[in-house]
Amino acid sequence: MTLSRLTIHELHDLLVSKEISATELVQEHLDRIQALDGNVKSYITVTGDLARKQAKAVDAKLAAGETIGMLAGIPMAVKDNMCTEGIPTTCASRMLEGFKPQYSATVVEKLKAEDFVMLGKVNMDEFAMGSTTENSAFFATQNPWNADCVPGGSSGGSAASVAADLAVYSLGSDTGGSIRQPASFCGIVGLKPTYGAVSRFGLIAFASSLDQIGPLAKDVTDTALILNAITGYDKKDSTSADYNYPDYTAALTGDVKGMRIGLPKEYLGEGIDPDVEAQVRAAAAKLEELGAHVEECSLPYTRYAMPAYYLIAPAEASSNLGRYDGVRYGLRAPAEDVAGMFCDTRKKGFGPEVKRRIMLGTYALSSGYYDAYYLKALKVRNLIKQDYDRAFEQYDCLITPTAPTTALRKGNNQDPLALYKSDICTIPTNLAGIPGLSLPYGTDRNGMPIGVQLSGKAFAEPALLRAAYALEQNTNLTRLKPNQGKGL
Amino acid sequence: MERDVLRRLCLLNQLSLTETQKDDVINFFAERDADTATLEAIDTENVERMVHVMPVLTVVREDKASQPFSREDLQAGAPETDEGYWCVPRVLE
Repeated sequence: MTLSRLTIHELHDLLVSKEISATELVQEHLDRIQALDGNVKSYITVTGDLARKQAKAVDAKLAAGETIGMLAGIPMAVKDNMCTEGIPTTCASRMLEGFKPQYSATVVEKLKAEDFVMLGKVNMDEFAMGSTTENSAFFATQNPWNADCVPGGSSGGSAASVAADLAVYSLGSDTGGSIRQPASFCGIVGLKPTYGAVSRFGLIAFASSLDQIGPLAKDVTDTALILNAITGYDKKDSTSADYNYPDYTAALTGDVKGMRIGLPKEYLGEGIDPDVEAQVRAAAAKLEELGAHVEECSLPYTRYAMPAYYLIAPAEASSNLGRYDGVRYGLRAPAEDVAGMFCDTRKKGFGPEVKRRIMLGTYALSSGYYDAYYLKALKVRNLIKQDYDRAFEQYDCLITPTAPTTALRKGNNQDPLALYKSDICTIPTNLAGIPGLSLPYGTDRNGMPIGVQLSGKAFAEPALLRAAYALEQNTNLTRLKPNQGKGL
Repeated sequence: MERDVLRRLCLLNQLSLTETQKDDVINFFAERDADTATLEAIDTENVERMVHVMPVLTVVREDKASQPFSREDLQAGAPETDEGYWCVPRVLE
């Protein structure tokens, strides 16, 4: 049996019935990482000894007849922008190379309480700024479906590791699409929860009003199981939502009869690959066939989301990244005086995309430009949110492409503005703080996976899971696997 | 974007850029301007700014003395320390 291909719920059953041990399961994944990650390059740090120790503890619980949780003993990966106590946390930046946090992020602590098994920390665009994972200061990750393509970003390592069966699931973070776009490019499920649903304590900040942690998984059931473990109020996060979080698996009914689903016209047509549009329309038609009411709708401010986002996110980033000065932790460049140390440290520590965004953000916040840029963008953000508020008076969820195309070819990062457009379908949900789920739905003419995005009002994750699960149960288009040998 | 504005931004950000990087940023800003200009067309006269999508609470620590981290732990990754202090190169001439 190839254990690494299985889902959380399949593996949980095997662990509980003692057909496999957690130790055997983790060793298979570590062996696979050893054999394949030289090509995929999804991991920055592999924590083999820790993973074996965690697995052994789960085996001891099983041997003692104790009940274990759904995530217990399941090998997973964490994006390298979430703090893990005593384990290098780099943000894929030279600035934090070798940095070992003194505490773990709340989300990691929550998984620890579920007896998780952490295989390691996975690659990303530096400080989560990018759409290809080529902005990592260490190495680029490749798409397991095709070695000539990127896995998407910024959570490219999170997506590639799951798609290549180098982890059963992973955690990513999403500021403008960084969970959903790589999930789409790699043919797996990715969910950006409602802003505030998952604590950001210990997540190294990029744009604090937009960042959100979420799961990348092999199917919808696994996504619901992970969500059950990671959502919840956290007093350490001033933006954490004090909400009565449900059991998300209750939404996995397979029944969409009576659901009202909108198909926004602004997400179809010009700029969207015809194969992608065809699959979005096919998914909408399938939901209709299963009893949902689907109709075209409009979100008129959609086209302004990208320019607004690329003022708001860099403005927040320029402030958040001000802390990297070479004084207390991380990189320090040698210099004669303190001013020189600041400048040289930041010059050597940050890559070109991070510098570009810091400059853009500071410009937008500068005296004389603030009203025209940053303030204007914040007002447009409100209009985008109002667009969604109106839509969700009529619809339980919206269906759109996750990305305008399938995975991009490697080496196209010379034109940052063109790359920014790959997040055009995901950015609006971050601005509005609402949840978005990317579900694989077939492949394009080149055999590359296509992602369909479902979005809903704040805390409507159950509606998204319900629709996604119905599609998963009623088609063979959602459980996609890369061909061995092409990208692995 | 003029060179002088760029110089001021570099100073504000404590960043030094090579000439190639400066050209890259200037070109990038020029291309960005077209996108940003689309926002000017929207009437936002009576629209409230939205910094956060939800209310933000100020987190207040319990008024109780505690020491969650030791000084040694916090300084374990410091570039340079001396007897419990963080050291930096000279600040004054």
